Amino acid sequence: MTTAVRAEEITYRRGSAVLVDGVSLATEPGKIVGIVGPNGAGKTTLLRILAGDLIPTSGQARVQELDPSRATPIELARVRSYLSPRGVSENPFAVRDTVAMGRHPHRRAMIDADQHDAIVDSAMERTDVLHLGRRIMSSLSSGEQQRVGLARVIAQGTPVILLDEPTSSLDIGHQETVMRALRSLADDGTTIVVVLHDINLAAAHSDRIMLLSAGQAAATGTPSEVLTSERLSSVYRQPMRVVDHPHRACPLVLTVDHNAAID
Amino acid sequence: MTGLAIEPDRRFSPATALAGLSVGLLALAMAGLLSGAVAIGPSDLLHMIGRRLGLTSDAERLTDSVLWAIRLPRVLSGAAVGAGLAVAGTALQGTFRNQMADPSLVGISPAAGLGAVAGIALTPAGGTPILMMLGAAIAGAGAALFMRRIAGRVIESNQFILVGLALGLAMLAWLGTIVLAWDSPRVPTFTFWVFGGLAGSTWKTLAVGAPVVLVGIAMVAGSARSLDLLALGEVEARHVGLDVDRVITVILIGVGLAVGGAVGLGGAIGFVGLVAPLVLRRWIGPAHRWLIPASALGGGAAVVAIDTLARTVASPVEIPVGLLTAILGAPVFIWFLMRAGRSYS
Repeated sequence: MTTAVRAEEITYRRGSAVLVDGVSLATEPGKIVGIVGPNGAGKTTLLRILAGDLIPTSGQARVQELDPSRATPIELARVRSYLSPRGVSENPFAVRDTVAMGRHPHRRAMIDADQHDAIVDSAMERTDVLHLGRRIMSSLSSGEQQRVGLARVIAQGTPVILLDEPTSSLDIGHQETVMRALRSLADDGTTIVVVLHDINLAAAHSDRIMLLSAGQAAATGTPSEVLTSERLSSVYRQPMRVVDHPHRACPLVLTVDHNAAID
Repeated sequence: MTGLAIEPDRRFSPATALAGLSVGLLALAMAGLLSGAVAIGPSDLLHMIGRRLGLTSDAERLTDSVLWAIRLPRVLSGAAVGAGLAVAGTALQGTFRNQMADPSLVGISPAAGLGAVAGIALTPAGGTPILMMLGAAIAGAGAALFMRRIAGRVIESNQFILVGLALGLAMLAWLGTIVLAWDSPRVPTFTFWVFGGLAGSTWKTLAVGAPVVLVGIAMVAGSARSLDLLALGEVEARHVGLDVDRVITVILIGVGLAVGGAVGLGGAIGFVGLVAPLVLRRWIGPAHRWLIPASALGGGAAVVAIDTLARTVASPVEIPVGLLTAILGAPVFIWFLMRAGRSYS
């Protein structure tokens, strides 16, 4: 089996703190992998290691057979794109120019300007920002900026997309728009690793889920394998109930009162 | 969000703006050549040019030497100084994503002054100002790279500016101490290092200073696309494939050369690097492939014009050019910031 993204026994220490502790992950192409877990579980650290921002203390990562800690920025930019969970940006450029910056790694590719334009347009359409094209980035709301950031990442056209909370500022309608856009990219063979806070969003749209807890993988598998009442209640220290989604073939996670008994 | 900023005030296309700025620079340079204590008219200018090109064998006029030996090197120095400072300001604002990043405010000009004095100390009497310009460029680049380290450690942009101010004031204090204690006729006065002045412009200083400024500008201009990508943020720029550390080092060395050459030629002149990018970004947009040449032309035009004022407005007394750039630049800066503040509130 070919793997698009592979992590082998990755550990990352900062000082005496172990932020990621022996995590392994292997993803075949065209899948959406959701990473969930409580605050401080190591989700962002793991994603940044895959992106090449951080070098693991031990273990190794591979993205499209490239070692992110050794590859040059431009080599990496051709195989993976990355959306960081940023606040409001001071970027003075217009929306369309910002999305087009995602094409930077391919500026010397043998394709004409029309094709770059078409890729940029299609990425903007997927995240519903085509109508904002001429607006200045710093004048947008945080949710609009997030969708533009996502369009930029999609326009980069890489086989692997890494996303850190791409829906944190989005309304519920745009959350679904974005997850649908990710699914259609995955159907075309793109591998997506996405950190999500919203467990139900992850449950509804991921092929596989990794639940991180205190730097370790508490479980990895399909949403219904990973998301069980007992496991979630213990990892989040909050009683939860998992039921079948009445309208979708996926689990639905509900919080319950602290003194409620767990089935 | 109600119909906020759709694009900058694109009253001109970038190409039109560059053409207009070029014409403005030429016109202001012409005005500078023709103004001053000795009355000189356009025919005198043509006469001087004709004689220099060997087109006329008329007898030399007094105005020829005033134009050739005094005013022309001074106007050209003003253009080089303004271009260097404005391009440095544009590069710093783009690199640090901070509209307050200006060579004077973040300590680069005072550091260049200190480097220039060190260079003078190493130059034998009567030597060319090469070591002075190089000293200024090296110290300027050093200060810029130091500020880059600071930017990596502070979270808030106002802390960055505060560190720059502290660095600048310390450099200025060292500079003042050394200049006053040394008290040598070879070193320009403290006023020159604080408020600038182009009265000492000669072909000799221009021949060294202008190339230093031009190399600095070329290094920044060659990084125009990288500066655009840095608007995404350093981390994001790296994610789209930019070798961030390398390009920022190149840009900041370019800044050091541009500021070093400018300070060597004209001392510390404030507000040009702050205001020129602010105004021009508004006019022609944020794309650096236009903004950098526009800054060079606009900054050059501004300093040439203000220097003409500096030597004529209170003639025969000459006002230090940096005082006038502050008197004129501060209101423009405040007005632009308040306008920007309104559109974001």
